[in-house]
Amino acid sequence: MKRLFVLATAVWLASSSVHAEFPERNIENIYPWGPGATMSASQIIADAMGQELGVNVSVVSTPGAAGTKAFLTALDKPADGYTIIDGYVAPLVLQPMLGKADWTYNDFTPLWAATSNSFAIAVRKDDDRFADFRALIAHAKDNPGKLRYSPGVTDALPHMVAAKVMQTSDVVAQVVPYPEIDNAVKDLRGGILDFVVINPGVYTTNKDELRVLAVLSDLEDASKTYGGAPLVGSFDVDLGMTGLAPMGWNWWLIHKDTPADVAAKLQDSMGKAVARDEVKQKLLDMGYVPLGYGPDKYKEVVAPVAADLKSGIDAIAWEKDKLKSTK
Amino acid sequence: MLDLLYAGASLSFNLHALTLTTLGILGGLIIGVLPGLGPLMGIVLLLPLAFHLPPIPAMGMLIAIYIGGSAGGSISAILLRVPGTPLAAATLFDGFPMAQKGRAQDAVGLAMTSSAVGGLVGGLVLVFLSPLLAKFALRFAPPEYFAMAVLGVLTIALVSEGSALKGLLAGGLGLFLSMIGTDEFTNAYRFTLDSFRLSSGPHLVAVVVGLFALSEVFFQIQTGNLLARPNVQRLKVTFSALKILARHKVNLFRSSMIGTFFGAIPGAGGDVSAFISYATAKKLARAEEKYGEGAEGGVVATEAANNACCGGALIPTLSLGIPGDASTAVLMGALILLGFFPGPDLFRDHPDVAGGIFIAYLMGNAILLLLGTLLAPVFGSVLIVRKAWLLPAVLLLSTLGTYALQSSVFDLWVMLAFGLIGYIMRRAGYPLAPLIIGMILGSTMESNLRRSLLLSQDGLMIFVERPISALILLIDLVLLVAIVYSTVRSSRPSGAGKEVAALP
Amino acid sequence: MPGVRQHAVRTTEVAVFRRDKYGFEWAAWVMFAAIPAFIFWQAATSLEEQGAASGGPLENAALYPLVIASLMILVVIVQFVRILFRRTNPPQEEQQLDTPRALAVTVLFMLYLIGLPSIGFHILTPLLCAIMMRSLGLSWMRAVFGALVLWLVCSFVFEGLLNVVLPVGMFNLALFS
Repeated sequence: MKRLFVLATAVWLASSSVHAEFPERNIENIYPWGPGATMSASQIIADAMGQELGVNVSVVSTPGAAGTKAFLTALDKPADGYTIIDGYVAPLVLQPMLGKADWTYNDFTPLWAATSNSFAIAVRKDDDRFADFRALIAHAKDNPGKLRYSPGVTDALPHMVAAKVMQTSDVVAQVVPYPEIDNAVKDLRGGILDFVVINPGVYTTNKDELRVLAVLSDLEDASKTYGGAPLVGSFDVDLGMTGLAPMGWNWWLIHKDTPADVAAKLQDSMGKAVARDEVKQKLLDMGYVPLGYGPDKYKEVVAPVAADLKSGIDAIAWEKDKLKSTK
Repeated sequence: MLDLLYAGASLSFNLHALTLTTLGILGGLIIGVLPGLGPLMGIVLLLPLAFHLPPIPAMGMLIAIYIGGSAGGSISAILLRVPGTPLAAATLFDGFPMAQKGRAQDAVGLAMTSSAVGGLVGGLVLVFLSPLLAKFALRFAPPEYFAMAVLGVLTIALVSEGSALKGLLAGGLGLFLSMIGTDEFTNAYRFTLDSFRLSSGPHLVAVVVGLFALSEVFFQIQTGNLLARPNVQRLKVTFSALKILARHKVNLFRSSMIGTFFGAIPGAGGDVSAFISYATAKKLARAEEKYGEGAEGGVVATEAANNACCGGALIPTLSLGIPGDASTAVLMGALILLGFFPGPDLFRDHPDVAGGIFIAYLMGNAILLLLGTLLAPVFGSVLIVRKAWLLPAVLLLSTLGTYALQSSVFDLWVMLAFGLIGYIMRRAGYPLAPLIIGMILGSTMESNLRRSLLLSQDGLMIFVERPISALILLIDLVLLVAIVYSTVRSSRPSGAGKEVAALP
Repeated sequence: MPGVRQHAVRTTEVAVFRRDKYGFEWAAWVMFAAIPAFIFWQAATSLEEQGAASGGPLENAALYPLVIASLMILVVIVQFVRILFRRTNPPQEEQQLDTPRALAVTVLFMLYLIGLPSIGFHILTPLLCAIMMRSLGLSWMRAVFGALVLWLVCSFVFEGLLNVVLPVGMFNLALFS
């Protein structure tokens, strides 16, 4: 009798799902880092997108393996459009280049680009050893391997960009990984670190205590998110990476085998969500710059980034060798 | 500081804010009671709701979930021997025996009132001593964290008295579990057996739920009596818990302070503070209080500490802009979302918001005091339910709570595996708590040791050059000598028979 | 494990009792002894291959685990001696344990987990609850009723209120979202 009931329910639900239009249940966005301020940025977009679709889009934090765990988890689920990958550049492009993942950016169907944020080198506000970026480089040159800095986690984008800058300037400092950049900022303020590589969100919460020496980007807009601090190029340092390459960004993706009509619906609703003024404003307030690239721009934007990142990866290897030889 | 409170008063004392805070406490309590879901997941899951509310009531609700969620785990620990959250893993040492002795309502009431009062103490420190403690927190760097983690690991010997060796082995297993996953320095996959599902290690909550909840379900089925209607004391609303609490003033104050302190140091966490506070209370107690057999003080110590920790964790979050733990990291994200950046700016530019958050926190704890007391008999009535109904419910709720963490069926297998491991350990007389302590502190200990060595220009000297780290390490050393001494003494032939069944 | 039989006690009267009692002691011991062995094995193979088993604190992911493993080996050896000479004291056995029933529920739950991804939460959960309640002694009527109530309430809270996406299975079933 009960089996009958269950069966009846199942048949009823199954039949209703065949005729219903996508989406008829909640959607998940698999987010590759731990919960925190950055996750809120994704939640803003998810919330707006959910309103467009008429269902809830929940952001599920699945940290691990430098972000690739989230990708693998999402790829493990059916390609039915109910699972979105929050495609951060590190697991999307960087990890495959490091040989830690076996996909390329071509293996996904893109929705819209979400946000970007540039990185910057910052020191304590009252640290009078470093009047400007040149002073920092000069100090590092005189004391090879003595300065201690944190880019957050190692082998990720901020680390790569910082290593690249140091390689170009031919100086080396001891890298100290922190899983949460907030804690690195705390230790910078406590005096145990000499400089950190931060994002605009960190800058905004700590701007009374930090001084940004150089913004690691070639885009004038990036300087704005750090209160007008100078770009690294203004100190005659060639970053060797342009546009989005030295930045953190995420592009929402879905499984390649997702049916075209489902993909179109998701692309459309995300496009509307990121075009909303209040969404843009909220993201900007948090230090994240909405990108506004649609699915058609995906290849055009991502391909050059992938090429540029190669030099960054070499920079990390260079840093490793250099640190060993100074010891 | 009082002007801050004054500025925030009009924003917080209105029906809207009050209702949302009350709902938040209630929701938090329920989320805490459910095995698996804790304050962090509560805030994460309900955050989208807050997007559509005005800032202060929204923050009030989220903070209330944080408070309620931190307290709620104790209820299931006391009634079912199933900690609803890792925070409450130490509460069952004495809470469950208390309930077994027919004092379920007292125990729940005591847990609620000590949580609330502990939270209020933490809140007062938050309001009046924030700048001071925030400055102190800045002096806590990797060497200090390492020394502190060693201290925490040493408390294993204190909570597993009588079977120190078994406690150490269980702690070793916990340390091992914390090593599984992606190494944060080399990004190498460690002990994952090439499975990406293990690339961030087994989830702490899946382990805790398995060890305690599933092994308990197994035990209960084995013991039988599944259809008997349990005989439970008559449950009614009383304020007797406050009277009992008054007898533990010193313990309450000390535990609240321990909790606040651990909260104020980013990354230390409420679960650790609960264990350390429990170990301290147990060491300082008189023998006749019988810790581990239903001592009121044990419940007071853990619950006051883990809720005071909430207030503590808000200190660096609000005054430094550096989150005190994962839950406050999400709270901070929410605050930023609502348009306010924590840090000194907040106090200068938006004193009404800062004050409003303080008031929301204090108010939340006051509401917890009231709701906890009123609802203690309701929660206590769970024990009237026959086991044949109750056990499937516990199993299903554990499953759902664990699944909700990462939408992962693999986590459920982890939970089941640790249910079996927990069962074997309990049958063999191993305490379970050290495993949790080891797992929580393991990565703190390792990463801060390695980080300290990277930071140091002269090797291990960094640990003794820094006064705070040197002091904590000295305490570690004294404690270690004391533990070794007492273990050696108790394992002499005459002492061998004295080894008693370990704590859960 | 071989230890169980090997160390069965001489007096026949308590033999059954003791064997069981120390059986769990040995089982737990084997489990704990396996950890350091596993750490040493992985350090020598997997971590070595990844180039993370030597160098300074930044490059060496194996040193700390090996230190912990070495300390554990010491305790494992002492514990071995203590069990061998009956110096440990496992908790007293409770009488009349209904182990088959508990094992049956465990197997049932395993089947549930195996089927969960493909068949889905909303089909398997009422089944799991009903069978479990029935096997715990309730009548079919009560078990089915209880299972349905439990399933619906839990689904409503997690799917409806908390917006968790529960395993939908091949029928793509969701109730409250």
